[in-house]
Amino acid sequence: MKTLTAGESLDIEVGSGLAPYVEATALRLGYAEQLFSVQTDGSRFRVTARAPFDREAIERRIAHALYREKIRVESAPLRARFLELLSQR
Amino acid sequence: MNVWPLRFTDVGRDALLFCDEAGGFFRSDDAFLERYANDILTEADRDFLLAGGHSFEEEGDRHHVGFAARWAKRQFVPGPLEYIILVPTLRCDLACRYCQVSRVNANARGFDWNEATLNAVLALIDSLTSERIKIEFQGGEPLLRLDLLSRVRDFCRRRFRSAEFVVCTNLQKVSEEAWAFLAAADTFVSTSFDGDALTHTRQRTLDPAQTATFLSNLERAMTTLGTGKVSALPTIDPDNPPAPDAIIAGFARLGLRSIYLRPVNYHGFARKRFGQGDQQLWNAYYDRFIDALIAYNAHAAEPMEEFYFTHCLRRIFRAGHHGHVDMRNPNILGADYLVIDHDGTLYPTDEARMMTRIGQMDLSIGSVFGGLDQEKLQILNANSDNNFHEDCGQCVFQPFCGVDVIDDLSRYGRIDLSRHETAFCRRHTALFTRIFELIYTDDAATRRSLAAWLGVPAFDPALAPVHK
Repeated sequence: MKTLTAGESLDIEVGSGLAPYVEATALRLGYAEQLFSVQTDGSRFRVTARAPFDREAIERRIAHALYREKIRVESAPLRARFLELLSQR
Repeated sequence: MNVWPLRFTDVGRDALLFCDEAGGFFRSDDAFLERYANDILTEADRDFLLAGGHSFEEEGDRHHVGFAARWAKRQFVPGPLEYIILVPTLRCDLACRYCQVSRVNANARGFDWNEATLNAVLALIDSLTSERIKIEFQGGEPLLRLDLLSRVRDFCRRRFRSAEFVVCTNLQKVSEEAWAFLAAADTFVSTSFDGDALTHTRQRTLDPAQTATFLSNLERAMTTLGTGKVSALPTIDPDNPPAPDAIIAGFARLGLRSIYLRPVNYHGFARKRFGQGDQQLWNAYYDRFIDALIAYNAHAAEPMEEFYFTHCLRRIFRAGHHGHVDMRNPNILGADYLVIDHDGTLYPTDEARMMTRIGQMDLSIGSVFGGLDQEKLQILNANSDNNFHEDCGQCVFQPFCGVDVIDDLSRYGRIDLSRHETAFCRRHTALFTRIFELIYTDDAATRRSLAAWLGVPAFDPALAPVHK
């Protein structure tokens, strides 16, 4: 288990299936994450630790954030339809 | 099959808590997340999600309608105005270090309702459409104006089919006339007791003799009025809190089974002395308190609860549990409850009154003489729900949580901070995280407490679903 020291960076590649969600994920992590900063070129993340941080934990957090964004975008029509139905009643 | 959007959070190594927007939750792992997010669910996944109410086959089927019903029940829809907090006087005979309401001395003039204000208050109450009413007398010390309390109570008893009264008193000086007033079946007492005599003296009375008088009055209230009619709330200074065991013992000794643990409120005069407080410090203390309660309940004949913890626990398992005005979604202000100050000014909450009183921000929403300021209310209510908030929309606890616009305004002067930067979010994220930890533990003592707090004979493990 490798730990990133404060100021150390890590590059995380993103598979093509999740690429459409990279920018929005980076934007969100940019203000929500306290423990590391995030930059992206659209296909990968460069993560820089603000404090010592376990590398696997960072990778897991990034993966979870990407999945959250994917779920949010893909389920938006279903959610909108549901709210539309409710508002008609 | 359509799966309702699932939010999730990390709850340990390879363990995730999932929840849909109607509050249906379960625990699973990263493997399930990958299958779900990449739309490669197995037959077992599909069966589990359908059985748990997290999906539907087609619009309008029983799964779809069931979800809609559960979702709707999670939304707070205000009824008619039927809960009013009245402040007939701002005067008080105590000078607590952390007074939240900016009281004035007992002999001050101009801080009580006059006859015109009383009449306008009664006219407002008379205009209500509800058949029932709950009146909470706040202060100051309301027992200083027993005459006003009596006139309001007499009026409400005549006017409404059902009326209930709560007197929030420091129980410091209680005349025989006041005891007789409090003895009525429709009248309840709410007081403050900081857990043990030492802390109560340090924080409130500054005099052991006065504390002894208070404790004697509290015991009399418990004995003569009955335990069901008296509640006592401790205020905790997170920098110098009493030991959890001491508070629990102090309340148990008096026969009080419910403790509403409150940190010093960031309002009124308390704001100057105590500042914002350290949320992490409070959360850590609160955790220790819950641990102590579970340990106590493991062997106690009569279990005890922390009121707010129990309330939030019940919000998880019972959609429609909206009985606490500080924890609702949407939290519509100025609708089903209202605060009327000593000068007849209307406020959406007691905290809004405190903020206005110290000159921080004018959150008054009208007066008994001129009615409600609907325009101001609309502005306040424009951001009163968490359903569409960017941050809450990714939070697994959103269906159980609420909104507190007034707290945000009080602490930050604005409401557009990202949620995780607010005390409200930090407190409730910690609280719900802890509750779910307990829900998913197989510890017998914890389950005994959970059952007691939920009001069920035993905690059924089926209440904590897991999917692999």
